[in-house]
Amino acid sequence: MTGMWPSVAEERAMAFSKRAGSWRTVSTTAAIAFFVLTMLAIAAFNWFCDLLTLPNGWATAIVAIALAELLIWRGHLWGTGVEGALWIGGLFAFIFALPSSGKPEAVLTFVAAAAISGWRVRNALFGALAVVLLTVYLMVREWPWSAMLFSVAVAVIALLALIRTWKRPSTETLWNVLAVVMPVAALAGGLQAADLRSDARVVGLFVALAGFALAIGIRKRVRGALVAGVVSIVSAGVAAHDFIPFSTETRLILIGAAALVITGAIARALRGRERGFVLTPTSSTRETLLTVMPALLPTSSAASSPQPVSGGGTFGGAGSSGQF
Amino acid sequence: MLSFEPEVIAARDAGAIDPPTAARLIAIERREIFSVHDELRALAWIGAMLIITGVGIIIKKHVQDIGPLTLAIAIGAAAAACYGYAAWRRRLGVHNLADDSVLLLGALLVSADVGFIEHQWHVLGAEWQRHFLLLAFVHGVGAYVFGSGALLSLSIAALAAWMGIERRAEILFTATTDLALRAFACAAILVAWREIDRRVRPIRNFEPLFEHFAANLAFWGALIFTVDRDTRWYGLVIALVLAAFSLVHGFRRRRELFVIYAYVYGLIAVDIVVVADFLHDEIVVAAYVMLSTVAVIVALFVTHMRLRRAEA
Repeated sequence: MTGMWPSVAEERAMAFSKRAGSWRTVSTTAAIAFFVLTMLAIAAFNWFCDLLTLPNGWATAIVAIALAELLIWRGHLWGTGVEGALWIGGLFAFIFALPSSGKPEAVLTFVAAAAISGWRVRNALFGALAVVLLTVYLMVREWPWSAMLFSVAVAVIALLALIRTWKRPSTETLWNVLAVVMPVAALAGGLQAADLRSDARVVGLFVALAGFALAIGIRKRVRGALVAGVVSIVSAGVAAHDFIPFSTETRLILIGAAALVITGAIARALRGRERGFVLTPTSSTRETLLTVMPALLPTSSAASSPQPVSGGGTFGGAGSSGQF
Repeated sequence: MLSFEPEVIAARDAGAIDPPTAARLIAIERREIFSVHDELRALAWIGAMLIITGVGIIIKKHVQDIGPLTLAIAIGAAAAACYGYAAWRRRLGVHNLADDSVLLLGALLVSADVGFIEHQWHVLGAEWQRHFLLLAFVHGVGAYVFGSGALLSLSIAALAAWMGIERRAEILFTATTDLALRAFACAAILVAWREIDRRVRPIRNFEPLFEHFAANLAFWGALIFTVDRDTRWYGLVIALVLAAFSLVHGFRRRRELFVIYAYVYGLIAVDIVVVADFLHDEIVVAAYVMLSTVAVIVALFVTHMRLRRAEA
């Protein structure tokens, strides 16, 4: 099914194949390379228009977004890094070309650009960038408590959202990124104010957030929540800087040693387990699905009957391509 | 959360995977089996990095308070303890997720200690760079004894440092062609080392490390040549030849990153030559950079799709 973005089934299928229906995607490594190259091309085009004394902001935005939509609607490219870079690069180029008012509200234009780009190409990083920039706006307005509480609130919402089972990988990724990033944004917001750097309430807030995240991560077995819990613990440690009598280097060594000891202890405790928390890498799961799923992917025509994969990767189903 | 249980069930019902495999995959998707392998490895690695950072700050700020000899002995003892622990664990035939990070920490402590001793007492005098060669040897031996890719990376980095090669972006514009020749020499040494490793060891886990380091060093050498006016065209030819090799290697070994190296480094080399020697008007330069980048994006995309089809 073609449309402004892949269907749920197609987006899920793209986790296992670079082709799902009529949509095409690339690996993460390639997407990063394409993103960087596309941003370079956008910058060069913007510069070119500027040298020709054209309205470079408008020109870059129009050309970039038109090209992105062409690649999505006609080329059915998704998650390649190119269409995402065109969207966010085009919008940012437009904003940079606007006369600077010097007001804090200018940050909100970047928030809008990141949010719109993130929504259009369903990019979790763009969406998270929009939320982080909102925190930046609150910091620029010199509202440190607001910045901190807003970031913590978003982190809590993201952690609660991770308990639910989502169908689209992009949605789940957004919640994961927000859960991990927002404690750091909250810390930045809090440390902005000198009086908050030695405030026990700030430390208590991060400790509570860490406990909440780890509780979700352990009980519901959510990886993003576990990482968010560790990040929150680190943030609590940084916020408690003045309460800890040791020097920075001593703290680093002690925390590092504790990390090694905790890793060893958990690894020893989990040794031999085959259910619940285990040590065995489960990447083999995705590898297995990578091997068999292309045979079962949705096709651009009517649903075809799936056939078992044997030998290599070629197969023939009604209307489906024989190769990826 | 995200669950691919429906896809696993569909694959099982279609006969694409057998029921026991499907049951295990379903258990994983339901979180009845939940691996924390990667998270614990990352935690251990972060722990090692925090410790070595703390040690670095101590070396920088407290050498007079602690005393240089005491400091050198203490760091050396800590390094020995890390290596001793890794060797003991290996002899017992057990392996823990933290063991690799403890070994890495030991190697980093050795590097810090040797660098500190040389800086403090100038043991090697005018030939002070040879302490990098010593480190390259020590870490190389450690890499083969413990089968550690991390130690091999440290060994290669020390070798490159001994040859005077640093991987900083700005060095591209300030380096002399002598540095480029040293980069080529280092890349050649790594290629030779890779060949020896292939013949001596049945396990090929070090091969990607040699290849990536050699490729990047060689490309950097070519780019340094292209920046210098006198060697610009030699650099371009070398870069394009390397790009061709990298592309072929990427296709043969199904290594996508080498395909990306070929296009990105090739683009940079061509752009440097064209902009420096042929284009002088800013508008033309801007147009050329834009069009050349777009051309590379298209070419890389087409090549990437072909690589994916070849993998299938």
